[in-house]
Amino acid sequence: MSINKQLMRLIQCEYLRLEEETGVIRAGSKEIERQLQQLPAEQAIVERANRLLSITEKNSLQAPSRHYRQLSIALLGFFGILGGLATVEVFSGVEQASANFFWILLALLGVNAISMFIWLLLIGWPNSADQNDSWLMSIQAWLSRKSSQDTSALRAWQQAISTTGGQQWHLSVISHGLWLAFLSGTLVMAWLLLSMRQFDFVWETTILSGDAFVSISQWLATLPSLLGIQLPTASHVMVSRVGESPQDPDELRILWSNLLLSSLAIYGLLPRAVALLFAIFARRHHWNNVLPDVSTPYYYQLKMRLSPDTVAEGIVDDDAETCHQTHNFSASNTATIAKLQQLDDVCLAGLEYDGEWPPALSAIGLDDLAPIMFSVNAIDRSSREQLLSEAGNNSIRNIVLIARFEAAPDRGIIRLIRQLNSKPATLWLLLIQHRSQQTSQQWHDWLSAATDAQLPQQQVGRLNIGIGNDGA
Amino acid sequence: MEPKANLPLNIAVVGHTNVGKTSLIRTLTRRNSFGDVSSSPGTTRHVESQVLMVTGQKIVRLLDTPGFEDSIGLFDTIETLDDGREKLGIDRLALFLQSKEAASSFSQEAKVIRQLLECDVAFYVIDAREPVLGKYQDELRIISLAAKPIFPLLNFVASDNSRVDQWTKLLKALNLHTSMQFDSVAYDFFAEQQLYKKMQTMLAVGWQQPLELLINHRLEAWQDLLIAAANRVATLLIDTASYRQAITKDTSLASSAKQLQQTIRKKENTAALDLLALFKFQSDDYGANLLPVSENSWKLDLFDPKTLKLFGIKATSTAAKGAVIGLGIDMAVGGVSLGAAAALGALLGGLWQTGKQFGREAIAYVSGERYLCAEDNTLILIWRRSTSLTSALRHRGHAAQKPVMIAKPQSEANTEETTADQQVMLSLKIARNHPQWSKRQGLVEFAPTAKQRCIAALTTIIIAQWRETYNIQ
Ligand SMILES: Nc1nc2c(ncn2[C@@H]2O[C@H](COP(=O)(O)OP(=O)(O)OP(=O)(O)O)[C@@H](O)[C@H]2O)c(=O)[nH]1
Ligand SMILES: [Mg+2]
Repeated sequence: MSINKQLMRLIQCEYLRLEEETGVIRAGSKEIERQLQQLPAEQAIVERANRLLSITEKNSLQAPSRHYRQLSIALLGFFGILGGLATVEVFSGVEQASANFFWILLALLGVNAISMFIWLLLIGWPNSADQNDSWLMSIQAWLSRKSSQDTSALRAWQQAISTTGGQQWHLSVISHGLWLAFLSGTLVMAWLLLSMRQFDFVWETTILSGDAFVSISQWLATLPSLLGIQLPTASHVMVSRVGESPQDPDELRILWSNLLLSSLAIYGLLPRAVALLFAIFARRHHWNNVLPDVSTPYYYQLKMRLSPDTVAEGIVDDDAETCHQTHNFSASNTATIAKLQQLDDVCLAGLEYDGEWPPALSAIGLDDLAPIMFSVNAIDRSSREQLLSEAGNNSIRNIVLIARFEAAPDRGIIRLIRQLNSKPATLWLLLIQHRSQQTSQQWHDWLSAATDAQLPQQQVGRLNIGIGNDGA
Repeated sequence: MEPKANLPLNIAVVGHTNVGKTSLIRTLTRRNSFGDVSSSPGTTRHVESQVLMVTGQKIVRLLDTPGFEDSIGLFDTIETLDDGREKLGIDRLALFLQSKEAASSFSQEAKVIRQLLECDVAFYVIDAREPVLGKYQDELRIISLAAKPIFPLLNFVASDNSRVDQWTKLLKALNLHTSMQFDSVAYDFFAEQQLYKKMQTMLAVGWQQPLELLINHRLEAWQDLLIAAANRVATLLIDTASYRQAITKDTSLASSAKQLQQTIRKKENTAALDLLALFKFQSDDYGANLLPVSENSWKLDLFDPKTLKLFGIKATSTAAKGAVIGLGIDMAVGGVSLGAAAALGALLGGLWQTGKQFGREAIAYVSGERYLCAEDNTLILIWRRSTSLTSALRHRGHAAQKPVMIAKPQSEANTEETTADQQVMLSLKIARNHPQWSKRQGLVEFAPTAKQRCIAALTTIIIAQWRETYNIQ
């Protein structure tokens, strides 16, 4: 068996897969994968294996096929000899050199015909060969043990062949090949025997009519006669019946021998040879089209690596400021809330506060507070300006700025806090937390925002009036 | 309208700080290592690009930008830079970029504006939970100065307090009629497809064909991913079902059962990690204790009766949890196997194999060999659990930072085997009869083709079940 190129490629891929699935990653595979990105995925997978494997590894992957070939040759020879011996056996039963033609033909071709028929049945039956690969594999395993060969190579073979789905054709090639060898042995030995020994071909029957044999022989003769071979005619057949005495026995012997040899060739060897060729073609067709099965996770991922959906181009416009301040803060500020409750002249203002404005004091958790005035909720440019002008009012001693804890304190917010903080009144920042979630990061963000706005940490407080959870 | 577009399509992803711009790119590119994501404002401070490709061709370039932080201040600055003469928006932005403010207090915003002027389209990302504040309107006013198509994207739409209606009303008022709801954490593949399709309708004709290419490629990859996941689950199930733990003379039943459990746990965990990797999630990205598959084990143990109950399976009280003793000739298994084999179109092979198996079992029976194998409940649990995991992973954006949440199966009340279970169990009965599938005898695996074929058949069954019963498209 000459090793199919495409199958060999698949074997190489499988060899690498088995290796990589144990966690081994070869040096240079990244680089090779990068180079192959332009190829279609399947081709790239195959080419990757081709480049990653060394010459020695590729050679060792060929080894199972070499063993296989040696075994095949031995088996073919063996079956050829077997065929010869079988023929001798058949002819040795001939008594007094008068051979029963139809009996001999049946003995030589009968079993072959039956097995051919079974093959035809099985080939139409899908998956029938699946279960039989175990003995095929066992033979290979035994062979490779004999030659103390690399087991991973053998496993790669197995895996590759088992994914191709061409087993039935592979088995067909084997069985047709062996039968062909057997029949060739038969033909050669039959020719030898007929050359060196003398047989008178006869036929006999007890219950069948003689006409049946005549028509069978004429029917057998149809195909060979097309080749111009001299064959027994109906009258020849009539005179060959046991008990008749033909006028020209020499000519009769030649004619019957011609019929026997040509029948062996045309009804035995020829169909086998045709079937063998067919199976070889079918197998080659299968193996020529084998590709790694990208529906399996390994090849899917490899395919994704080789033909990535996305590629990073990195940073386009970098940040000029190299270091950003980080602050450390205490975990919570409960004292601030207590202080807030005791303030007298308070102006309440909103910082992007989300809800009714002015708010009910209970809604912001400050029932005890006595505000002297409500300023605006700063939600856009004009309300911000209004808040800033109202905050400049000298009669106000405390401004309490109500904000959503969940909002992100951006630079715009920090700027507003800084501007308010520069007013004569004391600025307090009260963060209302609606969602009861893990929030240490947000608390940290607000405190560092306050620090950036020069608002002392003691003037920032948070109240959790948690209602429900943020599901997302 | 240009007939042929200049690939790739440059998309500037802009918006207020902390609205999920970086998260959006993570999800669209399936890369959870892209940029930095945090709940603090001002996380991204540079412009970073990531390209979407189709077989080596760059189709879309996504540009992550810093967030707008002080758009009110920025708008005022742009206004004051005006010298009163009538000017185009882009000229006013260009003027701003030359100002000293663009290099100092508004350096972040300047980066955004530079990208806006160069891009083909701008994604304006919105935190749909936020009230419609003045600063956001100012942002939109600044962005529109760049005279580029603006595509508003409402993020956080899966949150229960999102205000999609208010936002859409504002966008309409600003003449932005094509917008899109897309949550980068609660991922929906078809919403993503919709996103590209809407872009097709919005952009010049030259972009239609490349976007079509991208849409189709993504769909194909998505389906391939489903198949690969189903294949992995099928392999896990077949490996588990065919596994046998021998009870030798010097091991007790309990210790053999323990060993069996350990082996099966390991198989399931490896598969879970493989599934995570298939979907391009890494277990170690999130720290050890966040994923249910942390420290190489699911948090809910496979053999804990509570887990069974959670997945709607009634626990049986066998001596060794999750294991059944196989003893001698298992007629029932053999019979079912035959039927199943016939159903899978392998009648002849099935017959042959069953015969051989009977032979082996008979020998084992005579010589007093016994073994343990996974009980049906365990197999059903593994099947349902990996289904839930796959489902969760398919609805997980690459921006997600919380542990993988396994949704409670819908059929909690229903403790019977569903038809989906039965279909799957049928192929597993074949696997049960092939102990050689889960081990290698000496050098080689036996009958790898039969195993492959069984995996392939089960993969097809699983995909069909996922599509039908579990609504995994
Ligand atoms: N639940 C949920 N959270 C999200 C979603 N998108 C983003 N987040 C979270 O929102 C926070 C901010 O996300 P980022 O992606 O850093 O936002 P950004 O717009 O890039 O922020 P900056 O770079 O700071 O301007 C993170 O904590 C994300 O996990 C979403 O769709 N749903
Ligand atoms: Mg960001």
